Amino acid sequence: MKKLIFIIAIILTANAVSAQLSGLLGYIKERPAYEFSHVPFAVKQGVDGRFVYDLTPLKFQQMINETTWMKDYLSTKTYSFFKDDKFYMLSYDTCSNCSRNPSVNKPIERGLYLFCLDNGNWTKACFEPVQTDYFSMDSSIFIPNKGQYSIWSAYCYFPWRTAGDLPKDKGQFGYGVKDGSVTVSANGEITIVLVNHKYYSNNHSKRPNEFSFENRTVVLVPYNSDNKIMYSIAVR
Amino acid sequence: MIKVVPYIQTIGSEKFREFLTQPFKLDMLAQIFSPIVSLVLFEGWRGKDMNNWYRFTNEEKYVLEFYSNNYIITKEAKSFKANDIVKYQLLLPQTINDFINDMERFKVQLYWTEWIDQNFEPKDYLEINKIEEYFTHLLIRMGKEQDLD
Repeated sequence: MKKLIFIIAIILTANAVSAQLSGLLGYIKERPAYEFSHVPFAVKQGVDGRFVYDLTPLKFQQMINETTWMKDYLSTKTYSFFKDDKFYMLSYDTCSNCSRNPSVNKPIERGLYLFCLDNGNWTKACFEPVQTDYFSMDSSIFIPNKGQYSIWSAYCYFPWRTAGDLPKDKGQFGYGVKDGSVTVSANGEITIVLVNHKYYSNNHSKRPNEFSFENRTVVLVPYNSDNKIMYSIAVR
Repeated sequence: MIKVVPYIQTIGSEKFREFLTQPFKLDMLAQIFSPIVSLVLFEGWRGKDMNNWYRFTNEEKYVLEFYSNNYIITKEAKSFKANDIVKYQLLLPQTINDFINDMERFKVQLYWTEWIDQNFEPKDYLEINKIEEYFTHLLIRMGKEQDLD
């Protein structure tokens, strides 16, 4: 008897699902571009295996199908959050020379912006960068019998909701990391505590790379611009 | 097993957004409180009340330790070398969305329980490029390949 009830239940469920499917398939087919048609900024792997920052907004669907780097970018280089009925993301904007390639003797700068998902497109919610990252060659040193070596430094947004202090032997990124946060106040201001990653490296293997973490608080103040909520940046 | 993906990888439905902004509760990982605080939403975790803190483990050897102000993610290593252990400490997640993003960032794969299927349509919670694949396979399983045209 139980088996019979089970079989009848399966048949009824299958018919119900079948009736809905044509509508859902229609829904999918009618949308050549999905709602997330653009991501503000993309990273792709350069020809030499290094990461190059792409200037062109690409179709989200295309990127996510290509490789896993887009997902990696989203999870490791961006921070997203909800405010009221909007979806926001801190992400890098376009920049002209962001190849982190020590053989290219040029500093880089990249702007970290607040973006908002607006009618399916990511648009800037602030006109000025929340922060400007840099990666540059600070100096060079001469090492006898080895030659000239470069010392590079970077100051980068570290998009984790991180973290308290852990002893150094407790693992990767376990020490010195401060708490990042996004807080929305009743008057609409967004307070962001950015965790920045300061990094120093050189080409001489006997000197280890060094890094540390530093907090920076940024307050975004809303204002109305052509019936759209934009934010100006007040840095504390 | 239904993989959990961050909101940004879904189609971004309003209903799902509202769900993800709900407060995160430990009971969403495994039933550890009595009376029940929340239904279990994430499959594959075992939880234990450690007296003032809570420990959750899964089959992939990830350990989540929840304290009053923070939580720690640990991946147990096959060897016992300290360098093989990856350990992160984070602020407590405020929302379900926070928790999902944290796990994504630290490569801890989450899975939804059947609850998600009972309360949302697959198009709400599946990764964008998996939606069509999901329904295509479903139609094939039901012998309705002709509907794919």
